Amino acid sequence: MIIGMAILIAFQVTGELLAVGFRLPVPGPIIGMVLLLLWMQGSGRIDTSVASASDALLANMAVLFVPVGVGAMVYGEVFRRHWLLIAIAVVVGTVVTIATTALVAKFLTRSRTPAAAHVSS
Amino acid sequence: MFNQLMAQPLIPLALTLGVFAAATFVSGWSKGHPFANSVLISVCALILILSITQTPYEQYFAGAQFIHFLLGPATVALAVPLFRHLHRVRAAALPVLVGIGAGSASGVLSIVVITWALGGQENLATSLVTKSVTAPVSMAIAPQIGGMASLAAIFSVLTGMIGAAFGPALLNRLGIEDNLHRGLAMGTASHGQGTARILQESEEAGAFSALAMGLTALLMALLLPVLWKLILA
Repeated sequence: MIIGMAILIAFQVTGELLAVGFRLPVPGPIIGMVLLLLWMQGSGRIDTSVASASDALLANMAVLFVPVGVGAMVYGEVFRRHWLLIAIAVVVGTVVTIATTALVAKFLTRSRTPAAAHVSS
Repeated sequence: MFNQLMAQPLIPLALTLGVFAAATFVSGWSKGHPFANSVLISVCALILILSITQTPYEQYFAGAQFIHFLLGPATVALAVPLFRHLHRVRAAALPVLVGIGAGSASGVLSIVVITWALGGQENLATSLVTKSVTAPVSMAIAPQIGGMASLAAIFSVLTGMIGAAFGPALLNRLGIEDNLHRGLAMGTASHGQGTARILQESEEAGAFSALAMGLTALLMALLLPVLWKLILA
């Protein structure tokens, strides 16, 4: 668990260093994520300490958003002035994304297996 | 008196964990009602407490940053569920990749159109376009296109709540029954919170949602900074 945590942080640090060193327009933690993915693909398995640290972190990920969320208090003015725009953008944007993803994926699955097209309707 | 207490980093830290534990209890007690979201309850309760005790956010964050710090390793850790479900991509590569790509693009475009139609708040748009990406990643992408990290993170959390609350009903209405399509849509639109919600329906849908969430984060982090310049041009 502790070793797994150290490995995760090591990947993050490597990602941050690469992002700064090569001036990449990609966040350091994302580069760290890709590197970890490549490492696991290369070795063909997940290191047990990395797996236990990751599962613990991801199972409790929700609480990690709280300190940033409380930061909304600093933007009270932005929310008061643009609440309608923000509400419409978040709701409509989310509905559009869900519908587009589901319908496009469904269309492509059907066209791949035309025989199954009649089953669900 | 409260002000002196809050000046101790340990107090905001303990307060955040305590409030979140209570919020999780309420959320469980309400059987996961969409509006009884543990993050939403915690954020509202903490803002209320800080306002009453007149504690500045900076003072609160001095303690809460120890929780916040873990977002970096948690983002790296997303590689683990991604690796576990990567074989599913090979089985359905076309619907997975094109579905996520089309969904993300439509989300970005809808924000551009909405902000333009409602008065061209370009400043807000740069913090809003990353809203479907999980908060630690959206707050890293937004500054690269001129947005504000904390606003982007708040919009991500808001989007996660909306998607988790209304996504499954919307998918029912659209006649989407396959776990593959339901999971992809939830993960692409509302990241971790959507994944947690669809996981209650089916393990398989949850796996596709986790996959979509990871790929969306990757796709947006790699492409958005480049594409944004083209959109503005």
